[in-house]
Amino acid sequence: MDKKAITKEIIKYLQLSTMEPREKAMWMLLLPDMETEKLNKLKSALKKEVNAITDLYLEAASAT
Amino acid sequence: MLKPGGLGNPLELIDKAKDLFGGGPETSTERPTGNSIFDLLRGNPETKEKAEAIKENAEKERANVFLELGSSVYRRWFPNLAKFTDLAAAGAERVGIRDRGAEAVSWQHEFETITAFSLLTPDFLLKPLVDPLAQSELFKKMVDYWPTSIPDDMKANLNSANYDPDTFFDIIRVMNQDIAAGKTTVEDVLKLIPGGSLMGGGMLDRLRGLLGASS
Repeated sequence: MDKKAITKEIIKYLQLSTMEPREKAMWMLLLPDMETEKLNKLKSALKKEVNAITDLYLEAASAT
Repeated sequence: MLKPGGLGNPLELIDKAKDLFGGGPETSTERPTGNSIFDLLRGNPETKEKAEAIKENAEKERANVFLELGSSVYRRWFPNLAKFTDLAAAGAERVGIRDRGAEAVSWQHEFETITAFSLLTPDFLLKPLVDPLAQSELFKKMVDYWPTSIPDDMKANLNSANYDPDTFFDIIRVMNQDIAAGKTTVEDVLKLIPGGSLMGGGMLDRLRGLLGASS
């Protein structure tokens, strides 16, 4: 996956993350200068968080 | 599981949501994060702990990525700061170790950028970066000896157990403004230090040694 594609995925995950708005703004500023390796690490962390939150939501919904 | 269309009229849907999430973020005393799913999960006592654990773990992972950025983003954004600290350079200039050249303007630009950038960086990311310098004996002595007074509330915050890392940048900003406006000079700071004890004695000799210059 090229840098542009990874960045696009990160931007989507950023919107679903629990982080506060100013941290989102900070990452948006950093993204263009981040190396691919670091972008992948950030994407992985964000994806893990978003999946975990979504799973917890579905778990809570199915319990009722 | 959730069954699409199986919840009946909108009022039933609202009741169902209240059953699920205990009334949502309105029942919580915590500030909404802007993430509606997380806010709902945090507002429910049964899912609150798990949701906060997920958030906390995610913050730790992002903090690791953020710290690793030192070798890439920061070197591109702050090429001068990556080589020296601003104060070391200013000190070296004052004691005649090296001349302050044309790069002084770019130093100033980097300084303004890094202090502005710190406003966007959350405390949990900023603190690991700032701690080594902000909590060092050297920096605290500099704050105490600074010729123009650093505001008392900033000093008190810096010395408290749960200090706000933004305070460190506020203090640096005050120092930078004092020097830029000519209210004080690094020379003035050095004069106020008894026996040059800022670095535990012989500050000028240490600076010269560090930079490989003769006395």
